[in-house]
Amino acid sequence: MSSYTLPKAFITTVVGSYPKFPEAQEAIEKRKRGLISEEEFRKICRSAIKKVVDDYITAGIDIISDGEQTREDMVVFFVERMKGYEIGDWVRIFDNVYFRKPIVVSKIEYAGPMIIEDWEYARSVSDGRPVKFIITGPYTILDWSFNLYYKDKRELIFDIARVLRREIEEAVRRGAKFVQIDEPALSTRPMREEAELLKEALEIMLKGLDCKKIVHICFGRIERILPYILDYPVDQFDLEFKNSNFRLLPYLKEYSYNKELGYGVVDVHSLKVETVEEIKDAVYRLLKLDIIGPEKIYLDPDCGLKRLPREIALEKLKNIVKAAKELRREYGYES
Amino acid sequence: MMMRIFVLGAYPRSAKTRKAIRDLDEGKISIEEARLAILEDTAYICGIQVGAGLSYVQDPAVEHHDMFRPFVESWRGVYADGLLRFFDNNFFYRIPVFVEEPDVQRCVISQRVRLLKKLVHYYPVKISVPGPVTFTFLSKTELDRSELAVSISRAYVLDSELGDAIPDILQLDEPFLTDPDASPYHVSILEECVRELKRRFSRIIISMYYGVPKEDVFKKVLELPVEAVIISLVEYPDRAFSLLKSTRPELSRVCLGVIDARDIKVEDYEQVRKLVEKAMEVTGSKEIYGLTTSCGFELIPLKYAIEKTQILGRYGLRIAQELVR
Repeated sequence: MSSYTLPKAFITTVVGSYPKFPEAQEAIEKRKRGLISEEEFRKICRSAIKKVVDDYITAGIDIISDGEQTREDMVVFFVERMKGYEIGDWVRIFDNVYFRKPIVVSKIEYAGPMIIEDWEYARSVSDGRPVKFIITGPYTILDWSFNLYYKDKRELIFDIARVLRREIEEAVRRGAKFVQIDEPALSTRPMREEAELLKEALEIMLKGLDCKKIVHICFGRIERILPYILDYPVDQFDLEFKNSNFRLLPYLKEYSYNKELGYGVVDVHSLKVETVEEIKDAVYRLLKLDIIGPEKIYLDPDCGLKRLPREIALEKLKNIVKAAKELRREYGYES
Repeated sequence: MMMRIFVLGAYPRSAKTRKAIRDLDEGKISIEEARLAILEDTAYICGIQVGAGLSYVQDPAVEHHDMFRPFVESWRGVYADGLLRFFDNNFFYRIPVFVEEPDVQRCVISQRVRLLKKLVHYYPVKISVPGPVTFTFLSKTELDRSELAVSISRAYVLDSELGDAIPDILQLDEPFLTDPDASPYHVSILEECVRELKRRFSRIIISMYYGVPKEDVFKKVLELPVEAVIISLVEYPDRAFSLLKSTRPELSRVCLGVIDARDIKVEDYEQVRKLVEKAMEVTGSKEIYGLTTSCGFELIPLKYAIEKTQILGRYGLRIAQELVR
């Protein structure tokens, strides 16, 4: 595996998901209907993961992902591979789009590797670029499931955290340098007690692990949750900004934000491709606050790109990379 | 006073209707075929509510993609944009974008009333619509929001006049009023809207759900000239009871959400009875306007929605006999 040197500033990355390639979608369907085994499923999805990685490399993204090609959904995928869950009936996400909301029916326990194989495969074809290890967090898994077993929400979230820790531990043992916990549900209940609950769960998941630890949060009242999460045991928050028109920026200043920041500069819910200038302007706005320097800023989309057409997703990534390069030159990090 | 029992909001789609809508979108079936599936769901759900002994039949609204969409698609001056999370749910609505005041092109409310009246004949019908404040503050617009809220109310009135049909109860869904950003200012906007709506709708109730309103907001909502106000006791019971304790409203004007419509765990009778007893105790009330669900059932599978409708009816009747004067 060749090595890849990350830039010193304005590192570019992704949040995780990428538009699903047809072979991956078909494999998900076939696996669901019991027509193929888990092993065959993973094998088929490899070609989709390879295409995702190729797109990232074409765009020039520094820290990439496997594009979550095997994941039917960010919660269902994981709980199907844990003990204690049953896959429930269909519940609406938007319009006429539904997901099978899982149900906790017994104690949650680890059942075996979940995403290690996809991550390993992406790494093997990444041409040395680091591949982020991205896993849905325990708060979101809890919140987007029904629970018919646990009497106490704390017990449930901590059991999920213990299961996820095993998966993360294994990835770190195999060399994962960037671990991202996705917690989109947290911003929907921006209350101190909810934030503290997740903090305890994160400590279970991440304590003592030697890797860059990231939490991703998006689409909600992030400004309300921000003061309660700043002491989380993580190095970086990866946050959505563009979709909410950078509403969050003044709050970073207000709460003296000083961790690394995954800065969402393109909107994953819009087909409009942000220009290089727009992305650079967003970075200038952040730098103007004078809270963190270019070395702590990671440029990426607001969230996963899965709902965009592939060509739009790719164009958005290319512009992030172009903007990052120009910014590095402007700030003296590259000649 | 007889305690009322009813479901707060919309119902989920059956598998058949989901498929019919998908097939319609893909051009595989005609609109008439899709409408038939929707009508079957609607009739079935209305029948369940009647069978459960509920006081009103709530419009199941199964064909609506979100609470705003039927209006956004039937009014000129507004269109549906990108997706945004709907409060604390893993559910997204399309943001209405108002470029001008709404102009009714097709009737929604009166059409729903006519349909439901055909299905349930003499049974009282409740239609829930997005409260003008929630509608306005969850939309994008350059217009003055207080004026927009009033013009939305006028559009509801016009809809009912043009279609010449009126529901027995008009429910204004105002989950925004439970948001920490909501203030008495928002209720003052709602006050003007209610005044407008009263020209046409004599029986109005206001529902606040997904959270518990702040004390100043709740007090002001109670002053509005409406028949009743709904609050949920199940999601944040401590906050809800503390609100009831501090404001001590007459429960004869308050409807209590006692069945969790976002969870599939089925409540037992004692659990529900305790909630009602406690609400009566902290407010010193002997009468209750009614019992309902914590919100609409859209976000749980249909089979649980049906089961919970039935237990709401059963428990409600028992509570009415055992607890309420």
